[in-house]
Amino acid sequence: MSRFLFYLILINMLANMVALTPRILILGRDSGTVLSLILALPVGMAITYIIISLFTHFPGQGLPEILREHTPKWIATPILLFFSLCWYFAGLTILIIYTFIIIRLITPDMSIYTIVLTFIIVITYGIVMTTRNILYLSEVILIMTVPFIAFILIKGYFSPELNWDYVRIAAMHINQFPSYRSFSTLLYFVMGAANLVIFNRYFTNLKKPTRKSMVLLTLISTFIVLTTYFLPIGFGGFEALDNVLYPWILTSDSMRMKYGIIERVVFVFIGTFLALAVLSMTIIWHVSLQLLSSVIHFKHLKWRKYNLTTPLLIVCFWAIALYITKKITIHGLYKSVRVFDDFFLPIIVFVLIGCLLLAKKGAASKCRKLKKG
Amino acid sequence: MPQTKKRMKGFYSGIIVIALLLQTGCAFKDIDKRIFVLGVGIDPSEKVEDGLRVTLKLAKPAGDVKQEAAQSFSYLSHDSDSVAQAFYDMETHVDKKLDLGHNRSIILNKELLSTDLDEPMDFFTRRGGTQLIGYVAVAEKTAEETVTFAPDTEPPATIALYNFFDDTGTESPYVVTTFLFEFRRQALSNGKNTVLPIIDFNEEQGHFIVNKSIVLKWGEEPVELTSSQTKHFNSLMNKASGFNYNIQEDDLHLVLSIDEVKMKYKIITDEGQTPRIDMQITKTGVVSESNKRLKSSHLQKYGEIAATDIEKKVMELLTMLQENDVDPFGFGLRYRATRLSRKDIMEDWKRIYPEIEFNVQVKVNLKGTGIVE
Repeated sequence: MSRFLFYLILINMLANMVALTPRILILGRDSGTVLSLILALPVGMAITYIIISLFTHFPGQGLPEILREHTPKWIATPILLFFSLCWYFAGLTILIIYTFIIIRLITPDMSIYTIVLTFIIVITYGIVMTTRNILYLSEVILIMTVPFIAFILIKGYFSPELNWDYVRIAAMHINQFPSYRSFSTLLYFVMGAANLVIFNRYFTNLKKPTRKSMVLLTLISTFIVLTTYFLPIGFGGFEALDNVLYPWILTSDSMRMKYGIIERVVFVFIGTFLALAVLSMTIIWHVSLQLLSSVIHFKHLKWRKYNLTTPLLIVCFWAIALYITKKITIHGLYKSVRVFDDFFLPIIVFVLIGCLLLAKKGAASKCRKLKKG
Repeated sequence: MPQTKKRMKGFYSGIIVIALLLQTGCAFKDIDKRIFVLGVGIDPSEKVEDGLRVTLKLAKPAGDVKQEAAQSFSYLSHDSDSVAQAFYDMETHVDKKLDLGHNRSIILNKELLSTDLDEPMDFFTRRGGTQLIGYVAVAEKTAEETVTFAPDTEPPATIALYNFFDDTGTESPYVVTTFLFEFRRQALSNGKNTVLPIIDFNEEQGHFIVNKSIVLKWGEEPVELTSSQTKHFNSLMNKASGFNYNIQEDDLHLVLSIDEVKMKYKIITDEGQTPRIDMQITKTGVVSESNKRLKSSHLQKYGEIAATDIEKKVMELLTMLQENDVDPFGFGLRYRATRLSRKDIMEDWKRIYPEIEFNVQVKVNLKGTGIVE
């Protein structure tokens, strides 16, 4: 498996580790999260495997090219449009939650517009880069942030204030029937491979994942998923986390570096994860933008030689992001994310796998025809 | 095309540079426009009915710390209905923004402990920006007097109360440390009672005394631990080292210095037996004072003498806690952590705890008689 593919999956997990996933998992702590964890991991890994191996049949092609070649336009257009809106929404949730974290914890006096604008200006620079450059960018950012993340997690696991009894209480809730909500949230958590719909354009020589790479991926995912759920409980208590909106911020604020330059780990933590959040948004919105511009293209919207469709779409991205971030409440955010995870995510997975299977069949029969002819 | 790209790049980098101008330091408020709160004391109010009196210890900005002869703190007190109300009222009493971001100590009046603590403490955890690694403590006299008391050993630009609790200054088994996040998780979760240190001070000699602690019982009269009980509790629960131990056997008088403590326990609730807790304690240390010449070959004997004595003290402590129906060791937590979850598990524990039996085994390993025999 290409290491860049690995990064796509890893970044999706790490950026969501602090965002919305932990709260949804913790809310379901006494209605079946633990068993959902155990179920969602193999299912997520299996879907990842299926998606990657299906894309190996179409080297160097993104979903728009695959659909254009093998399906009629009236199927391709709605699917691409639907996917692009879903990806836009996924990026937007991360933008909103990190904006909320900044305004609550770092700069309470700052205008929300300034924060969102600072984010989206950087992201805009990212999403107009070529697919290949974004993958290189992700490698650079991961190399810079992973040591900090590893440090914080090790610090957390070895902290004497971490009470393992709370973790064990949470684990003892294994005897409850798994909940669909935790399951779908976790599925989204490990679904970074779906970004291949555009990023496959870079992978001209993608191979089926080997057993070794799948084992490695499963181990890392398991570690991150378990940490996301159990470490906040060890620091924040079992029932006490019920009303905490950002469990991981509370967790990192509970750690301290006794002899460190700064005692509070939370600042290292927020800085590191902000970098990852920006990267994750760049990847997701890049996919969204590419999907959208494969469907919407105004031929006559031109200024001198340049076609202005993409800048127009970006301006739409900005306007919607600004409007929604200002209007939405934290409750509304969680509600819409839950709807997204519960209903839209399975649809995306099924439609994606279905399309690829159909296209693969179409490609095979075309091949045969060519041979016969 | 390359020229277009270059121009686009120039455009975006221009925007990013302009965006930098928006970042003017500490969220638009420079450090000279802020005043830092270093301690908060909460007392019941005498003026306002059911109200609170909040005292803030503020750091006065000084040009040069070296030239300051004495402490440079200033204090603010205000009576109001709630902590938040008092805090926002006090914002009108200073010309700068009150910043709680550096606050490390919250000191409560003893009388408040038997009332509902939810309300005064909610402000600190709900409002982002307060450190969760701050210390919660109880004042022997009033919180206001304790916060405003300046001991003689406190040179400019240090805060004596921080050194007591953060394990970098004094390290004594008599000092219990409770962080705000620990307070929160124990208060809102079932199964463990919070222990808070009691801060007293000696006005004539000008120093603090922190050697007692108090066990909270939510909404009821708290249980106070003597300094000897505090020492035993702390050494078992937090593995506090530097444990000085006094034994008297016939005419032999020894003081041990313990530097390693191990404690583990098991809750056994077999059918047909009285539930019991098997506790195993291992302490390792050296002799630090004696009234007689000691023989290195008799070390084991001295250890056994010490063990029986410690066993008696620990049993006394455990029974005292059990009689008062408080559980600072978190036995209830362990009970839940080792049994599969069910709804009425805490009710079961509440029934079991008053009649549980303790079975304490102490082993003292003496490594030497100090530098002399």
